Amino acid sequence: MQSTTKTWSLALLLVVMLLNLALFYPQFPFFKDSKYEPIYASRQEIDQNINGLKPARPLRKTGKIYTYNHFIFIGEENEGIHVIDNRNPSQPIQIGFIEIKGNKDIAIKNNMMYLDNQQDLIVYNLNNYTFVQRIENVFNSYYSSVDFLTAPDGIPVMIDYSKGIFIGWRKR
Amino acid sequence: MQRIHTWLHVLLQIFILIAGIALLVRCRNSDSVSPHNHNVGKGGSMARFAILGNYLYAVDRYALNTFDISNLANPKDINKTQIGWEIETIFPYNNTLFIGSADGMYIYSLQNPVHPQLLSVYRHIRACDPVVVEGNYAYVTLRSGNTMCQGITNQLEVIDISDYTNPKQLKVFPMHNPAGLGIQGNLLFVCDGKEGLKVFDRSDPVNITQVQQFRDIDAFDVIPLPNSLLLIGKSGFFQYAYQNNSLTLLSSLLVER
Repeated sequence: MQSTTKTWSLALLLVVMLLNLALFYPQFPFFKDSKYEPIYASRQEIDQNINGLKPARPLRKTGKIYTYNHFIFIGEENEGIHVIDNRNPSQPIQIGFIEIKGNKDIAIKNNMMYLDNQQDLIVYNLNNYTFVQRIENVFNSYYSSVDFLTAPDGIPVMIDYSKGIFIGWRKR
Repeated sequence: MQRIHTWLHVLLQIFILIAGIALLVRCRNSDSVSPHNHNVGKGGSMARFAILGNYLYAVDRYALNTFDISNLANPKDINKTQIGWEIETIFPYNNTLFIGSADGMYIYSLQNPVHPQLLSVYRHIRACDPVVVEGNYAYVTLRSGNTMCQGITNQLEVIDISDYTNPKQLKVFPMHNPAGLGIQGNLLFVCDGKEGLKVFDRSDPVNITQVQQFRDIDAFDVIPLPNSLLLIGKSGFFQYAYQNNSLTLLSSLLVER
Protein backbone atom coordinates (compact mmCIF):
# COMPACT_ATOMS: atom_id res chain seq x y z
CA MET A 1 0.00 0.00 0.00
CA GLN A 2 2.73 2.37 1.06
CA SER A 3 4.82 1.68 -2.02
CA THR A 4 1.80 2.38 -4.27
CA THR A 5 1.40 5.81 -2.65
CA LYS A 6 5.11 6.38 -3.16
CA THR A 7 4.86 5.46 -6.85
CA TRP A 8 1.91 7.75 -7.34
CA SER A 9 3.60 10.68 -5.60
CA LEU A 10 6.65 10.17 -7.79
CA ALA A 11 4.48 10.10 -10.89
CA LEU A 12 2.69 13.25 -9.74
CA LEU A 13 6.04 14.95 -9.10
CA LEU A 14 7.16 14.02 -12.61
CA VAL A 15 3.97 15.46 -14.13
CA VAL A 16 4.40 18.68 -12.17
CA MET A 17 8.01 18.96 -13.33
CA LEU A 18 7.02 18.41 -16.97
CA LEU A 19 4.24 20.98 -16.70
CA ASN A 20 6.72 23.39 -15.17
CA LEU A 21 9.07 22.90 -18.10
CA ALA A 22 6.28 23.28 -20.61
CA LEU A 23 5.40 26.61 -19.01
CA PHE A 24 9.00 27.78 -19.01
CA TYR A 25 9.50 26.78 -22.63
CA PRO A 26 6.15 27.28 -24.38
CA GLN A 27 7.29 25.53 -27.54
CA PHE A 28 9.70 23.10 -25.94
CA PRO A 29 10.07 20.15 -28.30
CA PHE A 30 10.54 17.33 -25.83
CA PHE A 31 10.81 14.38 -28.11
CA LYS A 32 12.47 15.72 -31.23
CA ASP A 33 16.01 15.49 -32.55
CA SER A 34 17.33 18.52 -34.38
CA LYS A 35 18.09 18.19 -38.09
CA TYR A 36 21.17 20.34 -37.44
CA GLU A 37 24.53 19.70 -35.87
CA PRO A 38 27.11 22.23 -34.68
CA ILE A 39 30.19 23.15 -36.75
CA TYR A 40 33.38 23.79 -34.80
CA ALA A 41 36.57 25.62 -35.81
CA SER A 42 39.99 25.49 -34.19
CA ARG A 43 41.17 28.53 -32.27
CA GLN A 44 44.43 28.58 -34.23
CA GLU A 45 42.60 28.76 -37.56
CA ILE A 46 40.36 31.62 -36.40
CA ASP A 47 43.29 33.59 -34.93
CA GLN A 48 45.28 33.33 -38.17
CA ASN A 49 42.40 34.39 -40.42
CA ILE A 50 41.52 37.43 -38.30
CA ASN A 51 44.83 39.11 -39.28
CA GLY A 52 44.66 41.79 -41.95
CA LEU A 53 41.74 43.73 -43.40
CA LYS A 54 40.16 41.58 -46.12
CA PRO A 55 38.45 43.08 -49.21
CA ALA A 56 34.94 44.39 -48.67
CA ARG A 57 32.17 41.91 -49.42
CA PRO A 58 28.39 42.20 -49.75
CA LEU A 59 26.15 42.15 -46.68
CA ARG A 60 24.27 38.85 -46.43
CA LYS A 61 23.14 37.84 -42.95
CA THR A 62 23.49 40.93 -40.80
CA GLY A 63 24.16 40.81 -37.07
CA LYS A 64 24.75 43.66 -34.64
CA ILE A 65 26.08 47.18 -35.30
CA TYR A 66 28.74 49.18 -33.45
CA THR A 67 30.08 52.66 -34.05
CA TYR A 68 33.52 54.09 -33.25
CA ASN A 69 34.61 57.57 -34.33
CA HIS A 70 33.59 57.76 -38.00
CA PHE A 71 33.59 53.97 -38.43
CA ILE A 72 30.65 51.62 -38.40
CA PHE A 73 31.07 47.90 -37.82
CA ILE A 74 28.37 45.52 -39.03
CA GLY A 75 28.41 41.90 -37.97
CA GLU A 76 28.04 39.19 -40.62
CA GLU A 77 26.57 36.12 -38.96
CA ASN A 78 29.19 33.39 -38.41
CA GLU A 79 31.62 35.07 -40.83
CA GLY A 80 33.04 38.33 -39.50
CA ILE A 81 32.66 42.09 -39.43
CA HIS A 82 32.11 44.62 -42.24
CA VAL A 83 34.12 47.82 -41.74
CA ILE A 84 32.45 50.99 -43.00
CA ASP A 85 33.77 54.53 -43.34
CA ASN A 86 30.90 56.82 -42.37
CA ARG A 87 32.57 60.22 -42.72
CA ASN A 88 29.79 61.10 -45.13
CA PRO A 89 26.56 59.60 -43.67
CA SER A 90 24.84 60.16 -47.03
CA GLN A 91 27.40 57.88 -48.65
CA PRO A 92 28.93 55.29 -46.31
CA ILE A 93 31.79 53.36 -47.90
CA GLN A 94 32.60 49.70 -47.20
CA ILE A 95 36.36 49.68 -46.72
CA GLY A 96 36.93 46.04 -45.80
CA PHE A 97 36.09 42.95 -43.83
CA ILE A 98 37.51 41.40 -40.66
CA GLU A 99 37.23 37.64 -40.93
CA ILE A 100 36.30 36.23 -37.55
CA LYS A 101 34.11 33.15 -37.31
CA GLY A 102 31.89 32.69 -34.26
CA ASN A 103 31.76 36.37 -33.24
CA LYS A 104 28.65 38.32 -32.24
CA ASP A 105 29.68 41.28 -30.07
CA ILE A 106 32.44 43.87 -30.09
CA ALA A 107 33.53 46.91 -28.07
CA ILE A 108 36.34 49.37 -28.83
CA LYS A 109 38.52 51.69 -26.78
CA ASN A 110 41.50 53.64 -28.17
CA ASN A 111 41.67 51.48 -31.32
CA MET A 112 41.73 48.26 -29.30
CA MET A 113 38.83 45.98 -30.17
CA TYR A 114 37.42 43.33 -27.84
CA LEU A 115 35.46 40.52 -29.48
CA ASP A 116 33.58 37.59 -28.12
CA ASN A 117 34.39 34.29 -29.78
CA GLN A 118 31.80 32.02 -28.19
CA GLN A 119 33.44 31.05 -24.88
CA ASP A 120 36.58 33.17 -25.46
CA LEU A 121 37.47 36.86 -25.50
CA ILE A 122 39.74 38.11 -28.31
CA VAL A 123 41.80 41.30 -28.26
CA TYR A 124 42.42 42.86 -31.69
CA ASN A 125 44.45 45.90 -32.69
CA LEU A 126 42.63 48.17 -35.17
CA ASN A 127 45.76 50.25 -35.84
CA ASN A 128 47.22 47.45 -37.97
CA TYR A 129 44.37 44.91 -38.00
CA THR A 130 46.26 42.26 -36.09
CA PHE A 131 45.39 39.65 -33.51
CA VAL A 132 46.74 40.52 -30.07
CA GLN A 133 45.58 37.74 -27.79
CA ARG A 134 42.83 35.30 -26.85
CA ILE A 135 41.57 34.70 -23.33
CA GLU A 136 40.04 31.23 -23.24
CA ASN A 137 36.90 29.97 -21.52
CA VAL A 138 35.72 33.16 -19.84
CA PHE A 139 32.10 32.97 -21.05
CA ASN A 140 29.48 30.28 -20.43
CA SER A 141 31.94 27.38 -20.47
CA TYR A 142 33.12 28.60 -17.08
CA TYR A 143 30.29 26.60 -15.54
CA SER A 144 30.30 23.44 -17.58
CA SER A 145 32.12 21.87 -20.51
CA VAL A 146 28.87 21.71 -22.46
CA ASP A 147 25.98 24.05 -23.15
CA PHE A 148 22.82 24.11 -25.22
CA LEU A 149 22.04 26.39 -28.14
CA THR A 150 18.87 26.53 -30.20
CA ALA A 151 19.41 25.13 -33.70
CA PRO A 152 17.74 26.85 -36.70
CA ASP A 153 14.80 24.43 -36.37
CA GLY A 154 14.16 25.59 -32.79
CA ILE A 155 15.50 22.51 -31.05
CA PRO A 156 18.19 22.81 -28.35
CA VAL A 157 21.42 21.06 -29.32
CA MET A 158 24.41 20.34 -27.11
CA ILE A 159 27.56 22.38 -27.74
CA ASP A 160 30.77 20.74 -26.57
CA TYR A 161 33.30 23.43 -25.68
CA SER A 162 36.16 20.95 -25.76
CA LYS A 163 35.68 20.55 -29.55
CA GLY A 164 36.74 24.14 -30.29
CA ILE A 165 34.77 27.25 -31.21
CA PHE A 166 31.18 26.82 -32.35
CA ILE A 167 30.80 28.74 -35.63
CA GLY A 168 27.44 27.67 -37.05
CA TRP A 169 25.12 24.84 -38.05
CA ARG A 170 25.11 22.20 -40.74
CA LYS A 171 22.35 19.77 -41.73
CA ARG A 172 22.93 16.26 -40.43
CA MET B 1 20.13 11.08 -26.98
CA GLN B 2 18.47 14.47 -27.41
CA ARG B 3 16.24 13.76 -24.42
CA ILE B 4 19.26 13.19 -22.23
CA HIS B 5 20.59 16.53 -23.46
CA THR B 6 17.32 18.19 -22.58
CA TRP B 7 17.41 16.84 -19.04
CA LEU B 8 21.08 17.73 -18.69
CA HIS B 9 20.13 21.21 -19.73
CA VAL B 10 17.40 21.40 -17.11
CA LEU B 11 19.74 20.11 -14.40
CA LEU B 12 22.38 22.61 -15.47
CA GLN B 13 19.88 25.46 -15.32
CA ILE B 14 18.73 24.45 -11.83
CA PHE B 15 22.34 24.17 -10.66
CA ILE B 16 23.18 27.59 -12.10
CA LEU B 17 20.12 29.15 -10.49
CA ILE B 18 21.14 27.78 -7.08
CA ALA B 19 24.78 28.76 -7.58
CA GLY B 20 23.64 32.20 -8.71
CA ILE B 21 21.57 32.78 -5.60
CA ALA B 22 24.39 31.54 -3.39
CA LEU B 23 26.99 33.78 -5.03
CA LEU B 24 24.97 37.00 -5.26
CA VAL B 25 25.46 40.22 -3.29
CA ARG B 26 28.98 41.44 -2.66
CA CYS B 27 30.12 45.03 -2.50
CA ARG B 28 32.86 47.24 -1.20
CA ASN B 29 33.51 50.88 -1.93
CA SER B 30 36.40 51.98 -4.10
CA ASP B 31 37.07 54.29 -7.04
CA SER B 32 34.07 54.92 -9.27
CA VAL B 33 33.93 54.60 -13.04
CA SER B 34 35.06 57.63 -15.02
CA PRO B 35 32.22 59.14 -17.05
CA HIS B 36 34.66 60.25 -19.74
CA ASN B 37 34.67 57.81 -22.60
CA HIS B 38 36.11 59.94 -25.38
CA ASN B 39 37.73 57.11 -27.29
CA VAL B 40 35.13 54.49 -26.66
CA GLY B 41 32.65 53.26 -29.27
CA LYS B 42 28.94 52.71 -28.91
CA GLY B 43 26.74 49.68 -29.50
CA GLY B 44 23.03 49.24 -29.92
CA SER B 45 20.47 48.07 -27.38
CA MET B 46 21.09 44.43 -28.35
CA ALA B 47 24.77 44.65 -27.32
CA ARG B 48 26.26 42.32 -24.72
CA PHE B 49 29.49 44.33 -24.35
CA ALA B 50 29.94 47.78 -22.79
CA ILE B 51 33.09 49.74 -21.92
CA LEU B 52 33.03 52.21 -19.03
CA GLY B 53 36.31 53.85 -18.10
CA ASN B 54 38.91 51.16 -17.51
CA TYR B 55 36.41 48.31 -17.47
CA LEU B 56 34.83 46.10 -20.08
CA TYR B 57 31.53 44.60 -18.97
CA ALA B 58 30.36 41.56 -20.90
CA VAL B 59 27.30 39.47 -20.20
CA ASP B 60 27.24 35.81 -21.11
CA ARG B 61 24.10 33.69 -20.78
CA TYR B 62 24.34 33.51 -16.99
CA ALA B 63 26.69 36.16 -15.65
CA LEU B 64 28.14 39.65 -15.84
CA ASN B 65 31.89 39.50 -16.47
CA THR B 66 34.17 42.40 -15.54
CA PHE B 67 37.50 42.85 -17.34
CA ASP B 68 40.07 45.42 -16.24
CA ILE B 69 41.35 47.04 -19.46
CA SER B 70 43.64 49.69 -17.96
CA ASN B 71 46.28 47.86 -19.99
CA LEU B 72 44.36 47.83 -23.27
CA ALA B 73 46.26 44.96 -24.89
CA ASN B 74 46.10 42.78 -21.83
CA PRO B 75 42.64 42.66 -20.23
CA LYS B 76 42.30 40.94 -16.88
CA ASP B 77 39.24 38.87 -16.08
CA ILE B 78 38.68 40.19 -12.56
CA ASN B 79 35.10 39.42 -11.62
CA LYS B 80 32.12 37.29 -12.49
CA THR B 81 28.74 38.24 -11.03
CA GLN B 82 26.05 35.59 -11.33
CA ILE B 83 22.79 37.05 -12.59
CA GLY B 84 20.36 34.36 -13.68
CA TRP B 85 19.77 32.63 -16.99
CA GLU B 86 19.34 33.69 -20.60
CA ILE B 87 20.92 37.09 -20.07
CA GLU B 88 20.50 39.01 -23.31
CA THR B 89 21.65 42.61 -23.29
CA ILE B 90 23.57 45.28 -21.38
CA PHE B 91 22.82 49.02 -21.41
CA PRO B 92 25.14 51.38 -19.51
CA TYR B 93 23.61 54.63 -18.21
CA ASN B 94 24.45 56.98 -15.35
CA ASN B 95 27.11 54.73 -13.80
CA THR B 96 24.57 51.92 -13.79
CA LEU B 97 24.09 48.79 -15.88
CA PHE B 98 20.61 47.87 -17.08
CA ILE B 99 20.66 44.22 -18.03
CA GLY B 100 17.97 42.52 -20.08
CA SER B 101 17.26 38.85 -19.53
CA ALA B 102 14.56 36.34 -20.38
CA ASP B 103 12.72 36.93 -17.11
CA GLY B 104 13.33 40.57 -16.29
CA MET B 105 15.50 43.67 -16.18
CA TYR B 106 18.35 43.72 -13.66
CA ILE B 107 19.74 47.04 -12.40
CA TYR B 108 23.38 46.99 -11.21
CA SER B 109 25.19 49.90 -9.58
CA LEU B 110 28.79 50.52 -10.68
CA GLN B 111 29.70 52.58 -7.64
CA ASN B 112 32.29 49.88 -7.18
CA PRO B 113 33.25 49.17 -10.81
CA VAL B 114 34.92 45.88 -9.98
CA HIS B 115 31.98 44.39 -8.13
CA PRO B 116 28.69 45.54 -9.70
CA GLN B 117 26.00 45.56 -7.02
CA LEU B 118 22.43 44.44 -7.68
CA LEU B 119 19.99 47.26 -6.91
CA SER B 120 16.77 45.67 -8.10
CA VAL B 121 15.09 43.30 -10.52
CA TYR B 122 12.08 44.23 -12.61
CA ARG B 123 10.34 40.94 -13.37
CA HIS B 124 8.30 40.36 -16.48
CA ILE B 125 6.77 37.52 -18.40
CA ARG B 126 9.23 35.16 -20.10
CA ALA B 127 10.46 36.81 -23.33
CA CYS B 128 13.55 38.31 -24.96
CA ASP B 129 14.08 41.86 -23.76
CA PRO B 130 16.51 44.65 -24.56
CA VAL B 131 16.27 47.87 -22.55
CA VAL B 132 17.12 51.57 -23.01
CA VAL B 133 17.04 54.31 -20.40
CA GLU B 134 16.61 58.09 -20.38
CA GLY B 135 16.19 60.10 -17.20
CA ASN B 136 13.56 58.54 -14.97
CA TYR B 137 12.26 56.14 -17.58
CA ALA B 138 13.27 52.76 -18.95
CA TYR B 139 11.80 51.29 -22.12
CA VAL B 140 11.82 47.53 -22.52
CA THR B 141 10.66 45.49 -25.49
CA LEU B 142 9.46 41.94 -25.03
CA ARG B 143 9.37 39.64 -28.02
CA SER B 144 8.56 36.06 -28.74
CA GLY B 145 11.10 34.12 -30.70
CA ASN B 146 12.66 30.92 -31.81
CA THR B 147 15.42 30.99 -29.20
CA MET B 148 16.02 29.84 -25.65
CA CYS B 149 14.29 32.92 -24.27
CA GLN B 150 11.21 32.25 -26.36
CA GLY B 151 7.95 33.58 -25.03
CA ILE B 152 4.56 34.49 -26.44
CA THR B 153 4.52 38.20 -25.60
CA ASN B 154 5.22 41.12 -27.95
CA GLN B 155 5.06 44.50 -26.33
CA LEU B 156 6.82 47.70 -25.26
CA GLU B 157 6.83 48.54 -21.55
CA VAL B 158 7.46 51.94 -19.99
CA ILE B 159 9.00 51.66 -16.53
CA ASP B 160 9.43 54.29 -13.84
CA ILE B 161 13.04 54.08 -12.61
CA SER B 162 13.17 57.33 -10.60
CA ASP B 163 14.16 54.98 -7.77
CA TYR B 164 16.69 52.45 -9.12
CA THR B 165 15.91 50.15 -6.23
CA ASN B 166 12.21 50.07 -7.01
CA PRO B 167 11.29 50.04 -10.73
CA LYS B 168 7.57 50.23 -11.49
CA GLN B 169 5.60 49.48 -14.64
CA LEU B 170 3.78 52.53 -15.98
CA LYS B 171 2.40 51.52 -19.33
CA VAL B 172 2.31 48.70 -21.88
CA PHE B 173 2.02 49.06 -25.67
CA PRO B 174 1.33 46.04 -27.89
CA MET B 175 3.90 45.40 -30.64
CA HIS B 176 4.45 42.96 -33.52
CA ASN B 177 7.85 41.39 -32.74
CA PRO B 178 10.05 44.14 -31.26
CA ALA B 179 13.83 43.83 -30.81
CA GLY B 180 16.23 46.77 -30.43
CA LEU B 181 15.26 50.28 -29.47
CA GLY B 182 16.85 53.69 -28.94
CA ILE B 183 16.22 57.25 -27.76
CA GLN B 184 17.31 60.58 -29.22
CA GLY B 185 15.84 63.67 -27.59
CA ASN B 186 12.09 63.40 -27.75
CA LEU B 187 12.13 60.51 -30.19
CA LEU B 188 11.90 56.83 -29.31
CA PHE B 189 12.78 54.27 -31.99
CA VAL B 190 11.51 50.72 -31.88
CA CYS B 191 12.68 48.01 -34.29
CA ASP B 192 9.49 46.01 -34.67
CA GLY B 193 10.63 43.10 -36.84
CA LYS B 194 8.68 42.74 -40.08
CA GLU B 195 6.64 45.86 -39.29
CA GLY B 196 9.85 47.83 -39.65
CA LEU B 197 11.05 50.87 -37.74
CA LYS B 198 8.51 52.73 -35.61
CA VAL B 199 9.19 56.28 -34.47
CA PHE B 200 7.44 57.56 -31.34
CA ASP B 201 7.18 61.06 -29.90
CA ARG B 202 8.06 60.84 -26.23
CA SER B 203 7.66 64.50 -25.20
CA ASP B 204 5.36 62.86 -22.68
CA PRO B 205 7.67 59.96 -21.72
CA VAL B 206 4.80 57.72 -20.62
CA ASN B 207 2.06 58.38 -23.16
CA ILE B 208 4.16 58.00 -26.27
CA THR B 209 2.55 58.44 -29.69
CA GLN B 210 3.68 56.93 -32.98
CA VAL B 211 4.63 59.62 -35.51
CA GLN B 212 6.25 57.58 -38.26
CA GLN B 213 6.79 54.05 -39.53
CA PHE B 214 9.27 52.67 -42.06
CA ARG B 215 7.90 49.40 -43.40
CA ASP B 216 9.68 47.04 -45.80
CA ILE B 217 12.72 46.78 -43.52
CA ASP B 218 12.98 43.88 -41.11
CA ALA B 219 14.44 46.06 -38.36
CA PHE B 220 16.67 44.54 -35.65
CA ASP B 221 18.57 47.29 -33.81
CA VAL B 222 19.39 51.01 -33.83
CA ILE B 223 22.16 53.31 -32.61
CA PRO B 224 21.06 56.93 -32.23
CA LEU B 225 24.04 59.22 -32.95
CA PRO B 226 23.84 62.98 -32.40
CA ASN B 227 23.39 63.67 -36.13
CA SER B 228 22.00 60.45 -37.54
CA LEU B 229 20.25 57.24 -36.67
CA LEU B 230 21.93 53.94 -37.60
CA LEU B 231 19.66 50.98 -38.23
CA ILE B 232 20.43 47.33 -38.94
CA GLY B 233 17.90 44.82 -40.17
CA LYS B 234 17.59 41.70 -42.29
CA SER B 235 17.35 43.84 -45.43
CA GLY B 236 20.47 45.85 -44.71
CA PHE B 237 21.99 48.91 -43.05
CA PHE B 238 20.08 52.21 -43.10
CA GLN B 239 20.94 55.70 -41.96
CA TYR B 240 18.46 58.46 -41.20
CA ALA B 241 18.70 62.18 -40.47
CA TYR B 242 16.59 63.75 -37.73
CA GLN B 243 14.34 66.44 -39.13
CA ASN B 244 11.91 68.29 -36.91
CA ASN B 245 10.04 65.48 -35.23
CA SER B 246 10.70 62.79 -37.81
CA LEU B 247 13.31 60.91 -39.83
CA THR B 248 14.44 61.11 -43.44
CA LEU B 249 16.51 58.38 -45.12
CA LEU B 250 20.12 59.42 -45.82
CA SER B 251 21.66 56.22 -47.16
CA SER B 252 21.53 52.46 -47.16
CA LEU B 253 23.66 49.39 -47.78
CA LEU B 254 21.37 46.62 -48.91
CA VAL B 255 21.81 42.93 -48.27
CA GLU B 256 22.73 40.90 -51.34
CA ARG B 257 20.61 37.76 -51.67
